[in-house]
Formats: sequence, C-alpha cells, structure tokens
Amino acid sequence: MTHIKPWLKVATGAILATSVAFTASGCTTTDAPSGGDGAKSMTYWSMWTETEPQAKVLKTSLDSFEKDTGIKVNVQWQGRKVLDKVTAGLLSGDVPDLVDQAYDGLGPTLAKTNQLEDMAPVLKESIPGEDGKTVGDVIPAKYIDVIPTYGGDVKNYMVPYTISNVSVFYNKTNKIAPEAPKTWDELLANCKKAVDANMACIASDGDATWANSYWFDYLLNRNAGDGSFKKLVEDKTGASWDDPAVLKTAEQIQDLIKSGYIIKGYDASKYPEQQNAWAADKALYYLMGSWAPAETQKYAAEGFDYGAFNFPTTTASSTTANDVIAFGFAVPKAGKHTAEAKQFIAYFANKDRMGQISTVADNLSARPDVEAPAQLADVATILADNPSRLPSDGVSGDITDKGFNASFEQLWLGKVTAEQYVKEAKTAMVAYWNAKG
Amino acid sequence: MATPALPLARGRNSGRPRAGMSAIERSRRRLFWPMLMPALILMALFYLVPIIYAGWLSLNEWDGINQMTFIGADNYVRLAKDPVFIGSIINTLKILFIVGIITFVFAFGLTMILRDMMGKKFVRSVLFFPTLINAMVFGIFAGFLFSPAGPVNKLLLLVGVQDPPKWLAQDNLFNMIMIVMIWSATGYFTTIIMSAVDQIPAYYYEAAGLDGAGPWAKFRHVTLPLAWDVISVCAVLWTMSSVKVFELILVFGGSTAKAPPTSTWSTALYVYQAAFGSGGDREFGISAASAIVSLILVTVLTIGLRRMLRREAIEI
Repeated sequence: MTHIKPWLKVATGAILATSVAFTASGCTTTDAPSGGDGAKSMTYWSMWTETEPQAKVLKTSLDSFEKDTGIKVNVQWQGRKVLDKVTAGLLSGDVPDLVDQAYDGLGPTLAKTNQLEDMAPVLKESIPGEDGKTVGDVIPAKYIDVIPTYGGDVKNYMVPYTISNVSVFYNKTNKIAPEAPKTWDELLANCKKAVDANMACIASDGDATWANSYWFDYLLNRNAGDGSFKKLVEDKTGASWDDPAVLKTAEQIQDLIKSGYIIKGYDASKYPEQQNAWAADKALYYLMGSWAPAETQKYAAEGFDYGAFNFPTTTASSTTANDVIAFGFAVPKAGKHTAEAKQFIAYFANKDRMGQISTVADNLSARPDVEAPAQLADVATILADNPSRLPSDGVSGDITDKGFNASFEQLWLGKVTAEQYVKEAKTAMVAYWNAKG
Repeated sequence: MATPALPLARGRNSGRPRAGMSAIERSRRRLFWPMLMPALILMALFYLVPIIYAGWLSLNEWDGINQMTFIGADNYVRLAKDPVFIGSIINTLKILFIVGIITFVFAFGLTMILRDMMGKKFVRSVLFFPTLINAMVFGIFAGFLFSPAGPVNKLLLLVGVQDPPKWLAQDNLFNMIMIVMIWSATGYFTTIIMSAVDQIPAYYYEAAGLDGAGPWAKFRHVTLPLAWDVISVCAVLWTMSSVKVFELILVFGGSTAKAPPTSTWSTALYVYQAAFGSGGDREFGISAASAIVSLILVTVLTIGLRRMLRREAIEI
C-alpha cells in the first residue's frame, strides 16, 4: 500500500487552495502587446462604453490614427467608472497611456495626487491636417483655465474635447413666455404667467439634490459673485453663512416654493420623473445640464423646440458666468507610451474628427468653430458669449454629499424657512469640517 | 454507529495517530488537516488577511495612490465626530431591530397560519418569491410605481383618495426602504422557519389541542420551543445581513450616479461613499475605519444575540 506522507497532503492541499484562490480572484493580465518588434502602440481606457455614439466617434479616429501613424491603439471601453480602474491600476503598475473623464473626475482622483502629465506642451502642438493651427488655438482657453488643480502641481492636466454646461432649458414654441428672461425678476414674472395659465413654472425632482442645488449655486453666484459658493462651503468657521447674500439666496428659493412655481409633486418624485414632465410641456423651465435635450427627446411634446438661456442675473452688477463641464483626455505619468498618447490628443483635435462629437454624437465639441447640434444651438451661444465658471465653484470631495445637501434638501422641499435654513446649514457645515479634522 | 465519528474527528489532536485506534480512525485523523487546509487557506486569504489589512488601513490616511501616512486613531475620532456616520449607525440599528422584529412577527404569524392550511406548499413558494427578486429591481420600480402620477396613486384615486401620501418624499424614503426589506425578508424567514415547523410531529399539536390549547398556546408551547434552534440561527442570519444592507439604499435613494441622501445611509453605504463617493476624493482610511466599526458592531450583536437565545436543545 502506497503511503502518502501527511505533510505532502498538506502541501498538496495548500497548492490546490492557492491555485483556486488565484483563479477565483480573476487575476488577468491585460497587458497590451508591448511592441517589442518595433511597432509602436498605446493603450487607451475610455469613459464611454462601446455602443455609445461617443465611442463610435472615437473609434473612427483611433482607426484612422493607426492607419496614418502606424501606432496601434489598444482601447478598452471601460465606462464611467474608468478612473476607479486607473487608480487600482496605478498600484499594480497596469496603467493606460490615455484616459478620459470630466474635470471633476480627473482632477480630484489623479491630478490632485500628481499622477497626470502636463498638457501645456500638447496645447502648443500643431493639429495634423490643419495648417499651423495648434490645439490651444482651437480650444478656448477659458474652458481650460477654469479647471482647478485640486492642490496638484500641474495646471493643465487635461485637454477637453466635449463640453457640457448648465443652463435653463425651455420650449421655444411655448405660448406663455416665448422670450427668454435675462433677469431674475423677468423669470419670476414669466413664472407668474405660467401659473396663471395653469402650467407649472419650474420642473424639479425632489430627490435630485445635485440638480436642485444648481439653483442655489447660480443664485449665490449672481448675488455674491464668482467663487462665493466655494468660499461659503469651505469656510470651517461657518462665518460666511452670516453674509446677507446667503440669506437673500435662501429667500429667493423660498419665494419660488411659496409662490407654487415648482411643479406639483416635485417633493415626492424620483428623477427623472419631473424632467420628463417638463419635456411633455407640463412645466416652463428646467435648470439642467446640457444633456437634458438628449435625455428627454423620447418624452418631448409634439413640436417641442429645445431652447436655453443663461441663468438670469439678480442685480445690475451680477456676473453672467456660465457653468462649464469639460470632458477630455489626460495622460497618466505612469503610462509607457505617453508621447503616443499626446500625439493622438493633437490628432483628434482636428476639426473633422472632433467635429463628429457634434455631427455624430449630438454633443457639443470643445471647438466653438464646429456647428452645434440644433438642440444645443442656444447652449453653444451661451458658452461663447459668457465667461466660464464651474458648478458649485468646483468644490470636490464629499462637501456636498455629506455637508451641504441634507439641509439644502429641507429648504428646497419647503420644510424650513430661509432663516432656519441658513442656521441649520451653518451648523451642518461646521460639524462637517469638525469631523474632517 | 455513524454519528460518533464526527465529534471525535473534531478533537484537539493534530492528526497524529494514537495507539489503540482503529485503522479507519487513524486514517481519518491523518486526513483532518489536509481536508481542512484548503478551506482554511481560503478563509485566511479572503477574510482574515483583508480584515487585518483593513485594521491597519484604518490607522492611516490613504488616497489609494500615494504613500500612506500613519495617523493612529484619528480616523476613529473623526468618525465619532461625524453626524453622518452616527446617523448611519442609527439607520443600521433601525434596520436590524425594527425591520427584524416586524419580519419575525410576520414570519411567525404566517407560520401559524400556514401550518394547517390547504395548499401551503404553493403559498410558501409565493411567499418566497420576493427573495428571488433582486431588491434593486424594486428600488428601480418604486420610482415608477409610487411616483406622484404613478399606478399606486391612480389606484388610490379610483377608490376615492384625493390626497395620497407622498410616497417618495425625502422623509418617507427610509421607511419605504424598510418596507421593501420587510417584504423581501419575510418570505425567506417564513420558509426556513416553516421547514423547522414541518419537522414537529403532528401529535404534539393534537395533544396540546386535547389539553385545550388555542393557536397562540400551541405556538408558544409547541412551535417555539421545538423550532428554537432554527429561529436563533435565523436571528443571527438576519443580524449579519442587516448590517450589510447596501444596494437597496443606493438604488432607492440615489438618482443617476449621485449619492443617496445622507438620511438614508447605512454603515455599509458610508464605507462605500468614503472610498468611492461621487466627489472623487478617496478616503480609504476613513472607509476602513467605518468598516471595522461595523464589523465590531455585528460581532458584538451576534455574540449578544447568541447568548440571549441560548437554550438547551429539545429533542423531538
């Protein structure tokens, strides 16, 4: 009888167990062919999924890039959570050469920790196929300058290729108030007309605090100037809440609610319920990102003509800054083919290629010389005519989720008065910063 | 003579054969460690090591990319000062106790009704059905069902309710989440408790009936003592799963990719938000600290519950 020694059994068991463990943990290496035979290559992890129109646009350019330059691009359509994968990849050394996301993803996640290459040289690169024009010539500086560093060392860490903004959308064919208001009083007057005509003025979903707080953010910006929201929520002492402009802002919101200008049932609906109601002509205005037309198209009333206007001014000296949300490319320093990645960024900046973001994907490209899709024509005008700012002045982290939102919800849902709100919000923000240590 | 082998094999020995044992016994002992090792290694690799690592992480500040900085117990101090974290613990306890108690009351009630009901197998399957549906499905559908102009309110209007409740209002959100949990957990625990009750011989009930016991007395003096072991296991299962409630809250309260309102956060959600919140900041230290706190919470509660529910097993 053959006798297997106990230690051998233990060892076999252990080996078996570890092999199972490795299979189970799904350790797969996704290393691209390194091009050891001389062929150049690069890796691109995209924020889009493969079936999205933006992915199709990029794919077309990636293919022609490969043909024109011989650089093979290994692309992975990772989707919106791409930066979580990049963060994890940085630890294991598996990093793409090119990645894309919005500024508020790239900035706090990668630029803050100095993981991204400086893009200033890329802005000086000339665009293939456009004589003498550089990337910086065609993408407005205001889109790039507005992007915060989040404490990182590099100022320009991304090159935008598509732009969203936040403005007030409305149906241009509406009979009640076809003229877009320029001032807060004009907006209120139109609201009154709408309510008199048995139509809600403002659409809002109570649970979408991220969207409802656009009202507060813009109003405070108009009342107290650029950077006032950031100053307010980043004030660890809470003293900024005593600024009369804050109370004024809260009162203006209270006014909207008390006057019944916000669509009925907004306090018990789940996004995008009321957004769709707006598209069905149940409300006059909707303050939202420029993705609203694309999202509501299916629900739009017959003959709905998408228009947009910049958030109204509240005083004669109000700023007219408009929220810009830039999505663009960035190059992780840890990538092995950063030069190729930068080459592609300049390549994609070409009018015909980046222009497809507008013509194929129905979004705004970062080039103002590309004609905007019809639904976003007004948005393009707003962006061109006004200075740029960031939603919530670009504050990052959990300030809004854990600090600002809970008390703002109470105000927006009409559960507290403006005075109570200012008091509660101040306490909440002081507690938030106290916990931050 | 099949049973005594198990307790013997579980003894404190290290698998070394001893004199006076049968050959089968010896080889059984020799196989003890080799059989146990794979599971043990997997356990250590996937449970113990991560827990120890999380414990270490919780004493550091780390963004997931740069060097960790050791900050001692600072993360725990920050948690203690964070009203959102305190709120998330309260919510977790609400789920544990309120949802748990209601679920078990329903499960017992249904068990009593189902025990001598016709077609109980079918009814039991129906009751179990919600467990099969991912709670997220309900989370998504609730937005449609309970919306101001949704089917539920239309039905209510038909029966004359002019001013229906604001189902999805912020104040009701957590209650709605708890209702969905009760709805999906009741069937699950009813099924488990029912299977224990099925093992109780009918003559106990008959004897109790002859002694004049009503349904409640039968439940108290026959069902409860004889199904006790299963019930206490169910209680522990519930404790552990309630502390982990996550996806339902995320889907119910979060619109698009944003965080749900903090008033609905559970500790599990807090852990996730700290590490992968929508703000882009990654605070793995805080996240690990809150995970450790909830681990301690579930351990203490489980041990406490086990002690409270410990009883001599009654042989049927």
